[in-house]
Formats: sequence, C-alpha cells, structure tokens
Amino acid sequence: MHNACKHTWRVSAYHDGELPPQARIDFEAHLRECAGCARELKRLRKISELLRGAPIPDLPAQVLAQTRECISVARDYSVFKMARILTAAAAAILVVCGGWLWDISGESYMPLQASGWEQAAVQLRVETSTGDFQQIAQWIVEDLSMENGND
Amino acid sequence: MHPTDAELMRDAGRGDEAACRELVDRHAPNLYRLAYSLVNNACDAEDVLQETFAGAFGQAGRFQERSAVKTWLSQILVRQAAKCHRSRKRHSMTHLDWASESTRWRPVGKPPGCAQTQSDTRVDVLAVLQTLPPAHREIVVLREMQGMSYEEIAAVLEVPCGTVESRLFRARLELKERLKDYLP
Repeated sequence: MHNACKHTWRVSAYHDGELPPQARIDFEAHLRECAGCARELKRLRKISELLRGAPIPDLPAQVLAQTRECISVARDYSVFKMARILTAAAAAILVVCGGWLWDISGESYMPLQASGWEQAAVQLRVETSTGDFQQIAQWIVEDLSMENGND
Repeated sequence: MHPTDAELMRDAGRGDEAACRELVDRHAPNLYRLAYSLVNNACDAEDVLQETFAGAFGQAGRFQERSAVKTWLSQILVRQAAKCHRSRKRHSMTHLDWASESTRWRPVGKPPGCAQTQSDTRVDVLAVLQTLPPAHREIVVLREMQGMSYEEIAAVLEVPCGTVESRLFRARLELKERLKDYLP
C-alpha cells in the first residue's frame, strides 16, 4: 500500500540520517502521529537489512595478486603506446619536411631568362664574321645601359 | 609513518610501482565488493576491478585531489561497471540475467504458502538489484552496501545532493515493490 502522506518523501532521508537537525526533530514528532510514515520507515529498515545481508564475497587472494600484476603490464603497455605515438609523430614530421625540401629544391633548377647577347654568345661559332662581333658588342652596351637606367 | 592516499597517488603518477601496489592493497578489497554488488558475478567483478586500477594509474597524473582517492576510484569503478553491463546486455540475455530494466522484470520469490529460507532471501535480493535501472542500482549499492553519505555519493556520481536524495527515494520505491513478499 502506498503511503499518501505528504511527508513520505522525508522517510528515506531520515532513515539515512541525512535530515538537518531541526528537520529531524520535526519529522520524529510527525512519525509519532503518522502510521503511514512509521510503516514506511519500518519497510525501509527491512530493505536495508536484506541488502546488507547479501552474500558479497571477499576479494580472493589470487585476484589481488593478478590485479597487482596487471598494473605492471598496464604501465608497460602505456609506455609502449606513448613510444608508438611519438615515433609516428616523428615520422610524419620527417615526411612533411622531406616533401617541402623536395619542393623547394626543384624550384632552384629553373633557368633564368638569359639576355639576348648572352644567348648569342653561347651560340657563337669560331667562323663568325666581324659583323656579328659588332652586333654582339652593341647588344652588350645596350644591356648595360638598361641596367644603369639609361634607356 | 604511512603515506596518505593522496601522496601515494602523486607517486603513482610519477611511475612509482610500489605506490601503485600499496594503493591496490588498500582499496582493492572494498572496490571488489562494490564491483561484485554492481555486476553480481565474480568474473565480471574481477575484470571491472582490474580495469579500474589500470585506468586510475594511467590517469594518475590527472588526479587533482579535489576528492578523496577512494571517491575517485569508486567513480572510475562505477563507470567501468556500467560499461560491463552494456557489453553484457549486448551479448547475452538469459532469464537468469536481469536482462533489462523495470519494464520486463518478473517478480521473484516463491509462491505464497511456500517456506522461504534465509539463503533464498539473500539470492533474491541480489537478483532484484540487477533488475533495477543502472542509475538506481548504483545509488542503492553505494548507499546500502558501501555505507556512503549523500555527499560522498554525489561526488562519486557527479550529481547534486538533491539528486541523490530524490533518486534514492525512487529507487527504494521500486525495491519496495519488488521485495514486497519480504517486507512487513
């Protein structure tokens, strides 16, 4: 039968000794007059008795020994796991740096655009006539003038 | 002079295995009883206990002494037990298991007129505990079997004290219904 008293919610806290001092005094006065709450309290005490009497086994010695052993294994595993993580991080950094270095080294081999007289000088043959040398000299002068800002 | 739990946990965080073993020796017996109460079998209780310590020492550096070591270990254990239940629920459901929460619970106990022995009563109580919803089971075990105060329970479950009080009240309503054959 459900206790319809409006104070029934306090029975649980009273049973656990968790009511503040004045509230406990007030509730004890109420218990003397309320059969419903008194019956409720009796039931809670019986429930506690049943639960506290439940056959919970003690920790077996073997389980204790295994638990101590597990600590060492768990700690070794966590150190190993950390080593794996750090190694993977180092490998990732190496790959990224390697890729970056490969990328910038490729750019340094791109040839600069040579000026006209330089290209001609490279292609110059021994049999070239005096006219060609004059043309090359003119190019050199023009190129130097451009560098000095005299256009 | 014996080091305190907090000092041992600090040393454990620095890799001191002797400190870890000392903490196991101090707390394992009580934690095993808590685990057994929550999972109701020795095999799972053992696993939960070992996972608890492995997890605790793995995170020893994060223990900030805002609560007692016992409270912190209990917190970890309750979470491990909940994980064990979820895993067990996924893998097997027999009529001996609690199977699910209150909706599918069958009353335990012998028919009226049949003598109830002391050992029958004890078995029934443990089985009944397993039929409670996880939140109710945890709070009943922490209060009735571990003898924790509302404040300690609130710290373990990380809920306000008011929630502990109301949750315990509702858990006891369920227990009253399921154990009515044994109550005055």
